[in-house]
Amino acid sequence: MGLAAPVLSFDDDSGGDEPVVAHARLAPAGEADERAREDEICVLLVEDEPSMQIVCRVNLESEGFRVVLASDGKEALALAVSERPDLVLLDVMLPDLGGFDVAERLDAPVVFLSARASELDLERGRRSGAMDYVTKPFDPTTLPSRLREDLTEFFRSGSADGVWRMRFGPGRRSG
Amino acid sequence: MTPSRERAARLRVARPVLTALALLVVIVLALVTVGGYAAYRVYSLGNHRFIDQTAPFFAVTEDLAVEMLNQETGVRGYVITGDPKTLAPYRQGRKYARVELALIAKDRSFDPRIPADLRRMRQEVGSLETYFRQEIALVRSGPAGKRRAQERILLGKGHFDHLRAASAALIQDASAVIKRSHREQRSTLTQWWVFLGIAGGIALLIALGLLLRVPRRLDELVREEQSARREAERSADAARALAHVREAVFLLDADGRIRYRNPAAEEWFGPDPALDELAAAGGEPVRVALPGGERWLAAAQTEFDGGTVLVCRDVSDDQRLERMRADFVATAAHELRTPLAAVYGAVRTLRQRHELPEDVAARFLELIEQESEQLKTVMDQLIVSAQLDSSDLRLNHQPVDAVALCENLAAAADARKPEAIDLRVEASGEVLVRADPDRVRQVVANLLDNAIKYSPDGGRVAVRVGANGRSGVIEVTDEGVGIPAHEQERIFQKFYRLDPNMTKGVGGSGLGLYICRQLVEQMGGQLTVSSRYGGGSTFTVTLPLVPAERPVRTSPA
Repeated sequence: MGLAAPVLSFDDDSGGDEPVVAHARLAPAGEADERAREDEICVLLVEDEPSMQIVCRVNLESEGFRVVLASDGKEALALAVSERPDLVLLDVMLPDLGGFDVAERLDAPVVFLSARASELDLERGRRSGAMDYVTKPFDPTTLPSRLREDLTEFFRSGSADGVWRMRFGPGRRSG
Repeated sequence: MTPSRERAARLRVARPVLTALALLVVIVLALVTVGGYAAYRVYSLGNHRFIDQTAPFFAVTEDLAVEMLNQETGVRGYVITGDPKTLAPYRQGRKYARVELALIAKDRSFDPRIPADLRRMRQEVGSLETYFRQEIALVRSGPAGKRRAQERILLGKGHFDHLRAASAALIQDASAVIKRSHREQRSTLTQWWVFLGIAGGIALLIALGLLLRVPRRLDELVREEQSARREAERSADAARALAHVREAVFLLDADGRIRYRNPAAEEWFGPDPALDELAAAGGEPVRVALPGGERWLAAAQTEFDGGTVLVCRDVSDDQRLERMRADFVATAAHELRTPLAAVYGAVRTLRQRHELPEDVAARFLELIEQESEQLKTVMDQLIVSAQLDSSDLRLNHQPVDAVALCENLAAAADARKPEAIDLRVEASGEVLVRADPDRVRQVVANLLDNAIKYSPDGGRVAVRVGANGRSGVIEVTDEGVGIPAHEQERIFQKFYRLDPNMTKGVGGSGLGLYICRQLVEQMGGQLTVSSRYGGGSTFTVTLPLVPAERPVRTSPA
């Protein structure tokens, strides 16, 4: 992936109404100075429902994330290349390509967003290489902290499956 | 065969046998009678013959005596008178005596005493004849001889006595022989009769025995045959039944080897059935790879003394239905969760983020409203679908202005539709249909939404309202993705979605078109589609026209 181990610190237990500030440098080696300007995490949000787009975007932006929007798979892949997001928040149900297929083609770590919550869906998500799976309905106000935790664990353990194991336990197969 | 007919059949078989046996008895009796009679005849004949043979003895001895007496008379007369003419009886007597003797010369007697007696008689006769000749010779010799002859006359008497004694002996012996012969013949006859009687009796007993046993045995045999036939019929019926059941039936022996499989079993499983998994599943559906393809089968196992019967049902359809229902539940859950997620997310955000700008907050409130409406829509669809299934739906049939209805819907859709869609309504004249206005609205709105949804590249969406004979016609046409030919009937099926895995989320519960068609049909109409994959679709709703005084318009051009 080319990302160096970052230094990530943030206030624990935000819980309340105070905005949480993340100091993160997720700079790939060699691009550190470019990224150093932006203290914020760049999230590529791939979601076709306008209502969910707005809800997620508002919550993430108010926590200091930079949100890039894509409404379908093709757009997502294109933007992933041009914007190089730190994380992709990906809806499984997309109009053109399937969410799982898109996930497999992405470099950046993926967090799935979906109303489908069966074991099969989760397993499929894991096999696509995602690090987390958020099931709708969910509380979007807790989304920013969750994503931060995921990223921290991602860089600590070195793999998406490490994060998955943290969230969901060991499961049937090792990553 | 019914019991009475079976009995009749048995009688039919028994009758000729009984007749034959009766005939046999009659024949035996006849033979016995004839034999007895024949024996009697033989006996009588033998008797007669014997009498014929022995009768001469009696006659001859009598006649012989007479002829000897005649000879004696003649000789005596000659002796007394010396006149040769008196010898005539002697000559006659001698001639006839010879004849008589000749008659008994042939000795056909059966007893050794008779020839002895005959010989004695002949001797006496010979003695007498010698005496006579001597007398005659004496008389001829002269008067001294004549006197001598007269002295010897009494000698003749002695000879006669001897002759009589001999005759008597002969007769006695002959009588004894006759009597004995009678006795023998009679005893032979008796023996014959006894023999015949016994033989006949045995034969009769045998015949009677047969008469009693054979019909019964025949009856048994016929019964056995009939019961075997009944068994065979039952087996044939069983086989026929098994040949027509749609389940695969196996009969396994105690070692698990297949002893019988019905035609369905052969057809499904081919030559080498693998039944272990099915049998172990305990009636649960198992996916089985069969020569004709994969199927879901559920096997009911019944064990009995000597083996097992395995009945396999094809539950592929049930499984498919179950899968569809499971899919539907998942889909319904998804369709409900999605708007709910938006509502919940918006509410949480509004409550947590106090610093939201006003326009964003307003947008969130709007969002809550819209998504709540969507929730309501999905809930309604689910409920209507359930009602349609249980025929609980009540429709209010009224005259409905189809043109106005479509124009209203188009106006509402116009506000929401993407720019790329060109929406228009075409109507030629008034079209009044008899229907439930809310339901018609629901149907046309659904078709309109679909037309827009499935035209991702824009294009024209046209709603045409007209009449065709006795029906009002509403056509919704789009220039969108179209529907492949093999899907065109399936889209109206319950839970059907063009993209079953829903990874390309077009959304919807899969109920929309199913509900639309059910509603239209319950209003007395029809919903059909004409489409080409890649070339757009036209959905056509026909509903009964309200009978009008004015002549009905023709369908739109």
